[in-house]
Amino acid sequence: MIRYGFVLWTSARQQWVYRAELGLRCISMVLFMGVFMALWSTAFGVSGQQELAGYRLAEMVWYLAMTETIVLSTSRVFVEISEAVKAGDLAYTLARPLSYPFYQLANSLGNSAPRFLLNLLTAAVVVTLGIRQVAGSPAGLVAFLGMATLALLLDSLIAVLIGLSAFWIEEVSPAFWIYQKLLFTVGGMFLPLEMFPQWLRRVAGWLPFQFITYVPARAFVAFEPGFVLRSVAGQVMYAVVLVVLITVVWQRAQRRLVVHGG
Amino acid sequence: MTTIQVEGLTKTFITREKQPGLRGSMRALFRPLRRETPAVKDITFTVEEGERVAFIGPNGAGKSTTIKMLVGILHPTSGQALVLGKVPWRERARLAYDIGAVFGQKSQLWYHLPPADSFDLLARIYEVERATYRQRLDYLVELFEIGDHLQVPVRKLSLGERMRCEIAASLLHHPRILFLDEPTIGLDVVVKQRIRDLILELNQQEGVTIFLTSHDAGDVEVLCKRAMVINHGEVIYDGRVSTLRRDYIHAKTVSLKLGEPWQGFDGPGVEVLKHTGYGVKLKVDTTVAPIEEVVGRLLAQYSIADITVDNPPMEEIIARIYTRRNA
Repeated sequence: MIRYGFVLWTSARQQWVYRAELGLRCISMVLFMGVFMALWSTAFGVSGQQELAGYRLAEMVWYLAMTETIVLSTSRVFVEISEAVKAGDLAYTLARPLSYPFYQLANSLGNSAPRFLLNLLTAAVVVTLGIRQVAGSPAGLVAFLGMATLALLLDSLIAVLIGLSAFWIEEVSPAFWIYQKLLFTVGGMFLPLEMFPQWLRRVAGWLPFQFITYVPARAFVAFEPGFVLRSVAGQVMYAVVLVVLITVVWQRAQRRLVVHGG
Repeated sequence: MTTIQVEGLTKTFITREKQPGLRGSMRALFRPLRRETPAVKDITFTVEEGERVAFIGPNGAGKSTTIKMLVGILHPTSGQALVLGKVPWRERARLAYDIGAVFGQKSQLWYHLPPADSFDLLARIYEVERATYRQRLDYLVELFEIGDHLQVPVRKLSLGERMRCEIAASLLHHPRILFLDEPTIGLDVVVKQRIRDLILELNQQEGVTIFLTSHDAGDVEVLCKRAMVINHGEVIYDGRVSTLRRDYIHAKTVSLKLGEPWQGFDGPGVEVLKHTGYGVKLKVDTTVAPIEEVVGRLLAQYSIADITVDNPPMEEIIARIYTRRNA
């Protein structure tokens, strides 16, 4: 277990090497928040109401800041995995006494964690400067941090799964594209689930995507113990499902590797 | 003590063939054409502890396939093998702790980080105790002379420097066997020599069994006492390198870049393979004319800008082995 922790740590440290890129990513956060703060201010202004679907303007903006923080920290490890599969490199990883998918999971988390912290900081600064309000509570923050960690875990698990699918489908980027768009929509990245029509809200409630973007952000702006507990339970459940799925998929993949030689 | 025992090892790859065109794609979807490619055919050999064995052959001969089976990352179609008493493809994870593997074309070091970080990570992965690791690292750093490269990101190292770090990395957990798959590929002559020397020293100091594959006969001459020549999946020669050299490597090629036009060379056993402008390629039959003598005379006769002396290509050595066999 510790070995994987070390993989995570090494991956996190490698982020420092890419610090120029990280800096540029911050700019995209600033731009995104800038645009949406303006958009929502206008939307609220035009509607003439104090609350839309139960969100005040400040809460709406902070909600967005949180979902965007998570989304900007999501994993790209599927690229590394799918390229390794295509290059036939994967067979060599079997020579090490480590489980490849869990190695990549640790790698992915190590990659996401520093980016998450940086994105969170940037978003917090931009929004506080922008609307001069903080629409969250300390309890909400704690809940957010915990749930965002689980969210990134879910995202990394999905990324690993997408990467492994390269064994069967040539191009995995469409799969990632679909996943990302689902995060944006039924995941509640752009609009909180409260704004969905009832039927869509119910469907989204069962899907894994909202456990990645919607629930941590919601917990921050509207902390409520019951909601937090239910959401965490959902996140954990999906994590277990994904781990099982990865284990099964990897067993199949390994069989192909050791028979066909990658 | 026998470290590697192979008996009747066979590997046949089954690939799906797709014929060109839309018709071909459709057919491949419903009734794929299966082609069997035998890569390794019924090979048998034993390797003792501390031996230095070279497994040489041309590209596609089955060298990498054999090593992959011995490391356990490929399942054979039939046959048996025991590495350190374990069946590699069944006990791969456990075996991994006792063997080291360097695959010439694949790096195990993290590209953007210095080798020191990769070493630390590998030490953890292989569960090497901190104290042991420190000592081991110091020893390997000194042996492979990589002290100056430890903190430089791997992407900034030259191929030769990287290779030395790769080999050092594969030895951190003190394996009993070191598998090297084409370790000197892409390296220039001087660097190749250095790496061969280092591996030799390692074997002499620690008694690590060395199993090396290469398509460069030069790797064999210096480093290994025993050579197995493999061609089309079959071992066609298994014996001492000195015997191989004596019986089958009878020629050297000399490539020259002259500072003046070529005017021929007077002497037995020297054949001009080709000459264009100021470049000349000669084949010297070393049973008739010792190479030092020929080179010496060439240097005296011509002004030479560049000279390279090479072993005959693998294909030629193999051709000779076949001829001998059939004779």
